[in-house]
Amino acid sequence: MSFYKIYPKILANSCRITNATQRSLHAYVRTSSTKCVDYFLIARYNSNYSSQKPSVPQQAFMKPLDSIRHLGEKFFLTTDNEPNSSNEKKLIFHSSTLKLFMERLCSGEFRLENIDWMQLREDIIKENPKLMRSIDSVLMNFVIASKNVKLGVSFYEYLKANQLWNISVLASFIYLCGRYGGKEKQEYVLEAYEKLKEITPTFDFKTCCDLVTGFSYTDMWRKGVEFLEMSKITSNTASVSSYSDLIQAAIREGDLVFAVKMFEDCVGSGLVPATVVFDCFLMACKMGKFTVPDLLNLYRKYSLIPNETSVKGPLLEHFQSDSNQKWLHKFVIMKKSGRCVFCGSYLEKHDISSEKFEQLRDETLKRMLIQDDIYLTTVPKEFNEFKKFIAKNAPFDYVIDALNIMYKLSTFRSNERVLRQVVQEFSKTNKKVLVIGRKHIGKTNFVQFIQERAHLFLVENESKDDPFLIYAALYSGKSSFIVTSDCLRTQKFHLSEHMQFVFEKWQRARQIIILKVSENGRMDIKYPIEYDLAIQQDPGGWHIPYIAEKEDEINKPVFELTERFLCLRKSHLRQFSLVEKKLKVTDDLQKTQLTKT
Amino acid sequence: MLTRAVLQRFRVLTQHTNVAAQIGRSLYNLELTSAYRQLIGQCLYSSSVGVQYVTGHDKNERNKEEKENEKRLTATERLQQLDEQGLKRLKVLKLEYEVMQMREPEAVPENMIDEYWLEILGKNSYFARKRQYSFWVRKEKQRKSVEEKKRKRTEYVKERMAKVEESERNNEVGNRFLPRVSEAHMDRFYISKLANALLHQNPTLVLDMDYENYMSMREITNLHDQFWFLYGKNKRIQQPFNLVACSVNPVGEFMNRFKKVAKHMNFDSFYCEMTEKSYLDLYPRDRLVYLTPDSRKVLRYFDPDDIYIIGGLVDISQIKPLSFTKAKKQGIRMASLPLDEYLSWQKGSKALTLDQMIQILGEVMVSGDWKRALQYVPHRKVCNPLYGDQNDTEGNLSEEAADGLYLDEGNKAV
Repeated sequence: MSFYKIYPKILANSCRITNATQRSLHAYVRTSSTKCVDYFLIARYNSNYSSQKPSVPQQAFMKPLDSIRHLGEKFFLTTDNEPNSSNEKKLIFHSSTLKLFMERLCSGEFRLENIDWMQLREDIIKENPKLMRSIDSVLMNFVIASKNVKLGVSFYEYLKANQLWNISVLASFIYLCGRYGGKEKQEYVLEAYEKLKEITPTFDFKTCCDLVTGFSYTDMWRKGVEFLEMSKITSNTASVSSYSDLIQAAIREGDLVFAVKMFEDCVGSGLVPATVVFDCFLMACKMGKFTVPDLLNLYRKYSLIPNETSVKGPLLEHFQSDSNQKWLHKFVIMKKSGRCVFCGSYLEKHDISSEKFEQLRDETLKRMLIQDDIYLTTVPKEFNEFKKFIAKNAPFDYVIDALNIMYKLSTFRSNERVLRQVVQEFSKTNKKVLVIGRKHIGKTNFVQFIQERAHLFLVENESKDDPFLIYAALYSGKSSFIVTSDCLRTQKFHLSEHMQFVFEKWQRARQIIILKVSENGRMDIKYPIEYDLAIQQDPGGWHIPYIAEKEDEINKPVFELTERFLCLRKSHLRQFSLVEKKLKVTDDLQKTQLTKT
Repeated sequence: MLTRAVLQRFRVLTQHTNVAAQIGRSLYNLELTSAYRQLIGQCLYSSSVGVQYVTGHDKNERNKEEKENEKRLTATERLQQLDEQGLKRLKVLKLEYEVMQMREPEAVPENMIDEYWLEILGKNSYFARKRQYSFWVRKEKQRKSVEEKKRKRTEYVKERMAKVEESERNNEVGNRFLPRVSEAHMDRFYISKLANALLHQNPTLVLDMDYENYMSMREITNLHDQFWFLYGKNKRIQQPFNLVACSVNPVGEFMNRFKKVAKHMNFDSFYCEMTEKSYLDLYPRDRLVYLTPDSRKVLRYFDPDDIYIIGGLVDISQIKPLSFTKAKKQGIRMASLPLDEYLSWQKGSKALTLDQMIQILGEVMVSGDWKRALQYVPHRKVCNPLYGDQNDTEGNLSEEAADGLYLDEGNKAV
């Protein structure tokens, strides 16, 4: 389209864009690919923030679509002159003295202690008497934001002298001392905790979180378990930060059995511990209390993938500074066959246990197809026909989603041509193919063409075809493939949380995505991976995947987390010193002399 | 002299031009008294098919029904019936409330009722509770600001009246060149229209209230608000519908809210039937048409012999095709509005609210013109609104449409 070439000219000539061009652009953007998004955003930015505003009042269609908006926010956040940013948290200061105080704190003036707390409080209460009850905790939270422990201690002692403490102040003070104070301020933590106990025996969720972090730097760090269980009274799970702080405390004190147990509890309740935990475990490995293989196997057991920064930082350092063994490493993008470019060996094959696979299959029947009411997706008559059809023609090798291919990969005229090509391609090798579509697909010639080469099942126009696809593929066994470009996210969320994970795993290995079909007969197909995406161990070394922050590919599906691996190989070159070599030679000579004689 | 009273009357007249044209001195004779309206209602309700439960036509009947039906537990009673675990949880939640009050000055409302505590007991996550508290804080602020405005207004009026001399005060009402049309007068006119609709057997519109189990509290309150908007707009359209609300749960939460409002209402002039029965028992299946956004068939012509059903469903949290499945199960005809043929959709759900639906259907019934009818779809959902103001009943085209840009036959965006 010509817009792609004309747009830079428009930008160069004028900052302002008329409404007519904007409207037409909007329509163009909706129908075309994402390449011209940037120009659209630049134009909008220029038109919004230019000095002369357009004469016609802005109407609803001038706003960008939701799919583009998240990109727009990224773009807009980079600029400095931003009047309305929805991502900024609006801090409401209920009095101007508070605002001044906050600014002075953040500027770094109060390196040392002591302010006249009494006067500050009086000034604030004069301006806004509603703050009477909440002023102490608000001030303490400001002190936490400035990370200044001595100020906090002085504030605490002022409150102690005037007997003004309450639950929230004590909790946030404990958090301060623990997080930014360290082991030096243990006494304050314990003192404050005893005052808390006098007020109430049981605490609520937020105070429990603060207590866990505060106690994690003291000698009584094991009390964190009590607080975790107390926080489960009012919520399903404890918070992630409290789990990670407890684990870190256990590692620092050397009790790694406890740390692993907490790790398992955390993952068992559905939370992923923070990335700092990985680095903390590596610190323990340096001290000698834990081994790196144990760590990596822990992460493999729960199929967690580490971060880029922790893999490129501490992990690599550990392997490079290993005295017993020399390691060679390379950062590799893995191919779908599982063959590592660096070492040439193949990764472990993808596998789902048969129990879990059966469970997946049953859940798709119950939750996707037959939801609470079968009429939500189909009609009982059709469902019975489908069951009979599948039982007859059971294991299929390829299951094709006709609607997705016809309507997403082609224009209106070339619908049928595309499907014909795809069906021909997949039925070449004498494998069983199933095509699922709707009854409005086409005329009898077209339907006959497909039926000569594959099995065909047409669904009513009013019922959903995705659950049928997925169930047919799962019924046919672990080795059958599904051919769509659909992420199948809406169907995934019908399953339970545990099964969602297994479904993603299945998708990674068994979903074929067709990117483009051209008139020549050439097709761009993205075949799935054959290896198991997890940390893997060889007799010769390790393969560790990691999640990178920037992901370049546009056509990458959501369930494929990474292709990037770190390949670590043990090198057979051993560095002998010269003395040892001589000794070895003399030993050999002596042996030969003995044998001779 | 253009005083405020004069301006008010002028504004009222220009808004409701139909009413002003039709109200004249002769219409003062057509005031329907309450007794006459009651008579009409009783004649018709006795002849309709097996109506059992009707709200508040007789005050004695209302009291009897409240006693016979299950007693709906109040919030305080439910709180007293908690187990040990529940009581412990309540204690900790009250602690949490105090702590949040101390932490941030406006995170939590000042007055907590037992019903609020019940709602918060049902939430298992700290952040969900926080969001609920902030919602209540906003509501409190709104109420306070409304009260303050009222107070200021009364003070202002008092000051002004004190300035005006006594001789002029009595003449404030009379001696103006425009006739005085009070809102109560207009109300009486609208109600007479509703009674005429029953008499002359206008088309019926059925509201299906069977979806309470699928909705949260927030959605049920939205339904309740939409119901009253629907009732009000039904009065004001040219040919009002006969409203029937089917499969209402008498112990449910919708009726709980309804009864609170109904205490202050005069039910002699309330023309909407509320029944426990479903529409299958009241009407024959051939005549029913269910309007859903998910059906593939499109409604082209409004047939006054058919009975149209609208689902009383507000789907903010979960979007499932519930009305579609219900109609499929029961074997009723389905239809959807021709939105794609006349409008280019920008953003928003195609499931419209109750009052928007009744305005569209009312317009189509009278004129048969879908372009005029679909002006009532909100402008934020549409790329090219064909008509300017939603309140503009004469049907003036917007500036772009008048230029001729969007008057192709397909009426699609360029």
